Amino acid sequence: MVNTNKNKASEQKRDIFSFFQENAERIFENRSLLREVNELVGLFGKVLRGYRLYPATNPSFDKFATQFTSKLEDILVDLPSISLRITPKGFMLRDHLIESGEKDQEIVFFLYNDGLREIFFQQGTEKSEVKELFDCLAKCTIFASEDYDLTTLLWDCNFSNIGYITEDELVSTNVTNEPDHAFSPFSEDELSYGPGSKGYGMLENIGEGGGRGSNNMNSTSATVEFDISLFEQYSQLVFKEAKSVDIEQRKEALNKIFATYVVGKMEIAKFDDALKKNSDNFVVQRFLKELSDRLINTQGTPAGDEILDISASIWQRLVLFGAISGAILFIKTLSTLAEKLGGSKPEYAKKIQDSFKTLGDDEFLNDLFFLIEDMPEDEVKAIGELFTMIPENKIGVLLSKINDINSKDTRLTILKSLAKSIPISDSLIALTQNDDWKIVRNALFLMKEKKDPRVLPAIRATISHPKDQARVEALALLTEFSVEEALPALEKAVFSSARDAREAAIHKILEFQNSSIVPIINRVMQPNSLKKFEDDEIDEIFMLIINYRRHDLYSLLGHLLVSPDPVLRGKAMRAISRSSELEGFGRSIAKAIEIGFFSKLKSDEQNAICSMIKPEVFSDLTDSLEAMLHVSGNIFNRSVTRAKELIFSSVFALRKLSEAQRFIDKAEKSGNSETVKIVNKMKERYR
Amino acid sequence: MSEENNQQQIISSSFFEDTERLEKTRMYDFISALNALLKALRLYSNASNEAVTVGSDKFSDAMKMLFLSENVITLVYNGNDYLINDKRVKRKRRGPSFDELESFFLDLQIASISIPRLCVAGDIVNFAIHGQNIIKSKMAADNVFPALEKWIKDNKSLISLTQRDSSGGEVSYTILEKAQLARLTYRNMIADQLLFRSKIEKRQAMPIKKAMRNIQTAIDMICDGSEDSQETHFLVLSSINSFDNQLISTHMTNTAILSVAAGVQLGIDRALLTRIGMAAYFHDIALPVDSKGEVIEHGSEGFAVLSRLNSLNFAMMEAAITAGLHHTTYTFDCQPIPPEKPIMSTPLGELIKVCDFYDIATRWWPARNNLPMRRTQAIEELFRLCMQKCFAPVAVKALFSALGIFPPGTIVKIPAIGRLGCSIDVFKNTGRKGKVAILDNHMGFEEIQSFYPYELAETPKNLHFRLPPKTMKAILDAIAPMASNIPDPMKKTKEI
Repeated sequence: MVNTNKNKASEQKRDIFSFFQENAERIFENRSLLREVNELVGLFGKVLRGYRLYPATNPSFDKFATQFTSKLEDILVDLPSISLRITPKGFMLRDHLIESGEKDQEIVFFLYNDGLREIFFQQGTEKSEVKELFDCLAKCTIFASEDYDLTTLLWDCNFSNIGYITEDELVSTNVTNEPDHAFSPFSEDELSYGPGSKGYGMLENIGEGGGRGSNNMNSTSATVEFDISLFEQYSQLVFKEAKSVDIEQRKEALNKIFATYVVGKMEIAKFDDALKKNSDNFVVQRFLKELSDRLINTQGTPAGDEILDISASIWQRLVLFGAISGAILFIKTLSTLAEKLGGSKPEYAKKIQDSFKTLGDDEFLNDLFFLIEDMPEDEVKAIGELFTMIPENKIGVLLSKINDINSKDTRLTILKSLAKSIPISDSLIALTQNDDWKIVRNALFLMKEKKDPRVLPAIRATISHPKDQARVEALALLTEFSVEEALPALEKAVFSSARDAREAAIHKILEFQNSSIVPIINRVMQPNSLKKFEDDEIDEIFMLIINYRRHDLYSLLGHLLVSPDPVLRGKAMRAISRSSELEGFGRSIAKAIEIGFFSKLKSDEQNAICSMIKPEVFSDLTDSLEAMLHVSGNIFNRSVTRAKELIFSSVFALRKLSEAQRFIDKAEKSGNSETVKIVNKMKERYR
Repeated sequence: MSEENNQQQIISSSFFEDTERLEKTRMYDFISALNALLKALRLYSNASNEAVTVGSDKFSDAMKMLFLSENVITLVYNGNDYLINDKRVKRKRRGPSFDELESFFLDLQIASISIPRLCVAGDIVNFAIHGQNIIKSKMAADNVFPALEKWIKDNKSLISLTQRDSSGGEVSYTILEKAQLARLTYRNMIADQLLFRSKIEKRQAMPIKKAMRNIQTAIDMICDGSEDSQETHFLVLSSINSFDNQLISTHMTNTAILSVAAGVQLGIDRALLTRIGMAAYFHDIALPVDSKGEVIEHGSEGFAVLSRLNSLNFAMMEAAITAGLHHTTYTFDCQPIPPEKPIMSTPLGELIKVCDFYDIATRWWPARNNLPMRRTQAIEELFRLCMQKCFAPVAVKALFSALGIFPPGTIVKIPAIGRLGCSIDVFKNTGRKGKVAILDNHMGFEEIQSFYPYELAETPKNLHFRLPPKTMKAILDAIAPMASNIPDPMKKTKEI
């Protein structure tokens, strides 16, 4: 049985290999296990195909990882591990081919070609490990295979529960005529000294004070070469001269040497510190320094030419490798270098400058945007500076390509990064009049933090853009410069005939953290105004107030709880009941439970209101609650009594709350027979 | 046109002509056109059909463009990517999926298709039609590839194919013992150096993956901490003077092993161990392969070669820095060059320098008449040179910690039995016995015995021995005996 100790998977591979060799038949006979394994293999294939279509950040990969982990858990109930052989025919359980779809062959073929021959998963494999495994697959699938190798990536992961065996670690058991000698013992020939090497020892002039072998190749020592037959003679000489040694003394001396010269904990800590200080960035800087020094100092030599070639193209490789910060560093250094070389070696300077032309190349930009969603977050954050190095006339293309990115977070990260570095230019300002409102939006985003006198006129000009959405974006931005100027126009947009424009305007207004928007929303929340919106649009507005946590607008929304319009009332109830913070709605709820109003509501509305009677709003409800103690229903109209019962039931559910208990006590002593009867009924129910 | 302008022109045009981007675009177009042609052929099976003619023309154009820079096009499909002449052709997300081509490769069991420049589009069309016919005929799997090969032979086609490995399920495999894997790794590390050099000469991409995998295997074996750890085995291997007559390759391999072992002593994590191993493994790549120890300046060339960075990673940057700077404080013949103030290349580079010095100082160079330093003496010299700021003390201590007081490969005196032996263990405290290979009177291997370090002594400073290959082999065989469950191919060959 496989050792189930929690050793790293890499240390377990030999055990697992033997286990599967011995138990393959037994495992293969388990049909349900086989079915699970088939599905597992299918998932593997899906992941690989997925990476060709979607960015690695796509949520479906997380779902695949969950499914994969759960499938593994199902398989590894009684088995300590499952090992899949990777052969050109497909995945195998030892010598048994696992039947799977034709498309699944691709993943097997892919793994096989990267040198993997077995991959195994141990009991306890975690989702995080599966995700990391998928990340390795993604890198190999998405990025250039010259840069990533599945085996080395898996090694880097050093998984606790996922292991693999490579082609190098296996040997065919039926080695016959053409054996692979690579793993066999070394031969004498391989260990021979070869031509030019004489004798098996050397001897300095013995008896002349010994001395040591010179480390200077010019100070050739007078040496005597000897063959093996002389060995006995010389070794006897060694012992003839040997003096008796005090073992204890020798031990003490050695201990002293070890204590002094073996590396100590403090030194390890210091070295670790040095490594941290001289991190990856340091290595890049050091490399660049060497590169630039050598570029200047080795001109005219073959090495110099080679370095020039490298320098001119290295940043492109870095970009397409996803190492944006490194690429920026290289471009900056190269620019400086080109300036330096401009006078003495203009052809070198030109070559460097020429290489920067690629930055404006459409194909280069396509490649870059192809990779962008797969890049590490830190690299995406740095990309703005790289974009500023792209020729100014390409800024429109850039902003358009940013719109094509699926992930909103990535789009925002890129825009924020670009906004930090980009200067205001005529090209950028011109984009605020672009036909595509999304490009206008991006252009405005890049401008909003800038303290440039050209920004405000540009925004004003955009307010008359033919596209509603573009106008709204401009107005929203204008609020940051001049609220008085922007708000009336934004309010106008709220009631625009185009829904897109209305929505955008509402969003922008609600995002605007300023009390000056309250009157606008007040006007929006009037029943007559709300009626002008589409049905689901009203829900959206209400939810936006909740989601943006606009406490200053809660009373406007809460007021609708007692609206005579049942549709608006219902929508307000639904929105408020989804809020995680009811405090702001206390007063409105109090009005809603006033018995005269409450008793006339339909039962589902009553239930919705009662669900809002929560400890956090209870203090606001006291007056309304106490008012109902002395009100009674009558024989012809039971609605008041039923309403009271419903509200009392909600209060009794909170009876552990001191304020609720106080109210119950008051109700008991109210002297109103109906109230007392309800209290007693509730007491009975909650006993 | 002045000469300067002329040169300027040449530099710029050659640069743009050689741009990889252009090459990759051509490759992509080639794959794309071939895929479209296969689709047309599958649908219409007739070379004279209009769709096929259009596809064929497009393919012909794409092929011509590729033949501008290549004499032979070798197309490989690896399950994920298409490779043309070892270069990956990147897919385009949301681009075509090349399903036709994938099926063609998979269904016909093809690993690679080579098309020489003399081929014309018509040859490919005929070949593809035949391939499609084979697929449609649903032939037995074993007959598919032979049928395709037969067609090529009968039609004297210039196209050549290789078959996808089909042995997969039928051959039974055994996993190598750790000691075998250690030997394999050491052998590969030395043998692969020739491959790297040939790639450098041809200015082709270096297959860094191979090197990295070997280094990572060595790291696993050196620091796995298990009972059958191969740490001492590797350190003994790193005392080999010249494996398979590859003096410089052996030196770089040994330096890599020593650097990793020293790095382990400093608690360096796995990722950085790979980096140090890689940097050390390539540090003398600019030295000629047949160099016998002549003093040759190799820093600048080494830096230039390694800076090509076809595989761009920190390990290769570190390797380039190390290759360029490792001889700033000592010469190739171990002469110190004391700096005015300490100059650090990188922390890992400092460690590699120490290991490099140790290996070149203790090596028997055929081109040098002087004696190498004995291993213990080399360590002493390293500590001495620390005083002159040539080396970082912590790096020397790390190497000493990895090798111990009698580094593996050291010839030691064993007074208690009146014999000489070769240290094959790391003696780094007085409380633990280490192994010594006892030598007989003819410098042959007798047996392995264990001793405390204080039971051993250095040989006189004026005596230098190097073990005959036969003895070295016997010692290595004794350290890592062949496991009984795995066939020894050498033996089998002899029996045959």
